[in-house]
Amino acid sequence: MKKTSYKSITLITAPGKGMAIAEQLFKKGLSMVDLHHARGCFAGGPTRKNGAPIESEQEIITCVVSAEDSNDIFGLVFDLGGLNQPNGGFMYMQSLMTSTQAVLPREKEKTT
Amino acid sequence: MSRRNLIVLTDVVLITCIVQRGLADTIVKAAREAGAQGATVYFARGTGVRERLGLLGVAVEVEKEVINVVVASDQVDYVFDRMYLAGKLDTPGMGFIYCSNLEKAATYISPALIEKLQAQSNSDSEQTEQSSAA
Amino acid sequence: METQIRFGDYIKEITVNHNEVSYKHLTPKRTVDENGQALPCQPPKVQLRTMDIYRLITPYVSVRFIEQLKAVVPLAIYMVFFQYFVLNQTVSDASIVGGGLFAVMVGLMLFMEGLKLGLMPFGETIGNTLPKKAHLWLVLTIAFLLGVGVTFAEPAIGALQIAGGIVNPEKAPYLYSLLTTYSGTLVLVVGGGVGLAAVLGTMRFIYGWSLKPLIYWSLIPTIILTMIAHLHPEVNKIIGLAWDCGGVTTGPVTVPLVLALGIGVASAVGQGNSSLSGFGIVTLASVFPILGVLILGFAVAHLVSPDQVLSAAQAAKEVAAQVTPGWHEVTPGVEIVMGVRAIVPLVIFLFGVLYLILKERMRDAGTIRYGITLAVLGMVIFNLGLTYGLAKMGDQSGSLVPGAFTQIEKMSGSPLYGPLLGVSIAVLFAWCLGFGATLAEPALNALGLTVENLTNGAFKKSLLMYAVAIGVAIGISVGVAKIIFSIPLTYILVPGYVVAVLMTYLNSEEYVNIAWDSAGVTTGPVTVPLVLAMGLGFGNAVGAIEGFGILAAASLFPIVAVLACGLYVQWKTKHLQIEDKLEGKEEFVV
Repeated sequence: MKKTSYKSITLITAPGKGMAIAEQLFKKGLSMVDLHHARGCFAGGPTRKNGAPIESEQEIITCVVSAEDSNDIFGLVFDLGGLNQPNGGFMYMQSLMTSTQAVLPREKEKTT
Repeated sequence: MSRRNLIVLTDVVLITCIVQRGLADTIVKAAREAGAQGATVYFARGTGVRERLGLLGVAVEVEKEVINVVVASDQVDYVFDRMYLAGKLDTPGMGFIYCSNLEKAATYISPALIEKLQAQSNSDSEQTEQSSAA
Repeated sequence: METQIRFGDYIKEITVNHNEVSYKHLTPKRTVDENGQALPCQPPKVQLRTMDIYRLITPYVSVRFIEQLKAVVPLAIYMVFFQYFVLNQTVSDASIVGGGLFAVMVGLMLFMEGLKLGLMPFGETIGNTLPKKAHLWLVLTIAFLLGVGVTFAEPAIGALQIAGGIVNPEKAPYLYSLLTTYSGTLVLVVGGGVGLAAVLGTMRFIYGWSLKPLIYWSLIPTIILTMIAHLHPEVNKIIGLAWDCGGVTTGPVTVPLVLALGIGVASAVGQGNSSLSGFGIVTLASVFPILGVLILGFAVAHLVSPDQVLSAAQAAKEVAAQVTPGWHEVTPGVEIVMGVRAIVPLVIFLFGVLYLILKERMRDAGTIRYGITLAVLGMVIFNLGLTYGLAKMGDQSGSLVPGAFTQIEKMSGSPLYGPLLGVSIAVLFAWCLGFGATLAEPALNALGLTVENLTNGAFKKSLLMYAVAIGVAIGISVGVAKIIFSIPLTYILVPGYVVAVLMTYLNSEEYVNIAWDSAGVTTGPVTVPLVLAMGLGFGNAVGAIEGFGILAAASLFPIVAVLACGLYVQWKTKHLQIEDKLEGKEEFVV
């Protein structure tokens, strides 16, 4: 059995958008998606008087995909996160040494 | 899915630093001054040397802050050093820092910046052509 | 002029060398027992050099000690300087007072750390699991008992009992009896008030009630009862003590523990995570004890006549003169007993709830034991420092400041200044004391940050802090004026609280929550004993009947100040919105 390699894609975005993006990824067939909150700053952002940056809330969405799908999912997350607009966020992809393959059962397609 | 060009960043490295809660701000400030473009911080709870110190372990806080900083691969050493020194990570119990290579990254890049980069890469390729022709 | 430095040293300073060590050398190898099964990895204990131990412990201790230092030392320096330069009096027993203040700092540092490590985990665990495993009525009963228990553990409650020794039984018999014979009942009644507040606060989390009706329904009976008490000649003198008890209760123990329980209940049962769910308990915990003490005052006045109190006081004095008191009734023994008696019942109660009702084990028992030990030790040291440092210094300052405008036997050359100038100096002293002590409060800083986040920057942290500080300053100076001119406390409190209730009606819910909590936050474990002792010393020197009431005024004025700021911020944002609307309209027309 060929050993698939995996990559993880992480998106940092504004609060409120995370759940919707996670749902979209789930609909696309991904099962290994997680979401958490963080605080952070970015270059050129507001700073306090002593130089420390003013941090704001962020949501972080991480998903694990197989190597063949990785480029497509990267583009999908780029679109979903609206990264072609200013203040859209930041994303990156990492290759993983190994990963488990977790698949959640899907609802059967309803025939109308 | 439309076929269009995404601008994707390469030579990106992720530096992750785990410190005791309350100490992240000094490290974030040091990272920014060293040239990092942004930082993300979140809370976590962790174990490590705290369990092995016996009674002295109470001086190490269980709650941690995890700092993620994305830098270019030529900045890594310098930013890593600055973060390490600002956090005094050579003292036992003060934390842990590591780097991982990222395949690619993406974010919004303003059209003006794109043009400047293209102009720069055009002038670079012209220079190499000239030097190879000469 | 430039300094010269060797290039080699310069290079050494600016470069950081990386020595590479493979992580493979540092992680343990797997060990296998006889059968070939892998043994679980037991990492060996880390041996630290003395230097490492020093580097590990120093930030831990220094951060906490400096926090307490910043709260105590500026106050102490201010009072000593005032006494020395304005009143031309040296501080008597300076070394004892200095030692006492140091004990206060150390004691508070140990106590806060012990609270965080030993008692807070209980609060969180019980808060998380209790609503899942018990009926609502059991949860509310436990909240009530917790409220009673934490009141006993409050560091500042000890100050009330010490204050009892300074009151003259002939001038204010019921006040004296409440502070001495009935002192246990007093603390119990105050605790009952806090318990009732905890119950109502928890129910507020669950059902999502607004704070405003709770304020109306708790404050209006209190004001009416105060006015009735004002007319009764003897209960009259308890009003100051009653309203001061309200300010004493909400301290570093009550707020986190009761809040942890409340928030746990809210997330398990209630409407989800409202950012305002934290507020409200502090307000109620400041109002209900007042009601309780007033009712207790009426009860004592009904049961016991003033002559009985006087004869009992005489008898107690005679007995005390004949019998040598046991070691546990004299300082320093009494402080040790008070310290242990404060924490241990609360800990036993919390353990009982955890093991018997929740049937859960506490993880990390070693840290909990360490925390409880620290808390008891800290409380004992704090009580010692309280008697020898804060109460002594406050008493000294308080009894000497009136020397600025009236005759005092202890001070030669009093009055130092003319009556008008002297009184204004005394009031100014009180104003600066209140202002400085409030700005140093760490809890106020935390509240300011929360407020700035809640209102998205509309209500700046600095605005809140200065509003509260100015409110407390005005309050303390009004309280001092009350003692000098013998203005009945009712005349100050009732109109003030009526104004506060009116402004509450006009303000929006967020500002109401913030304003009423800011009063409970301000008077911390350092300011309360100091202000109490100072007030009593002041009262004795001026010849007033009792010196209570300063804390009450110091709790009233910040509420009014923050409510006024809230109205201003609301008006300002509405004004800007109207301006924008007008501008928008103009553009549309063009």
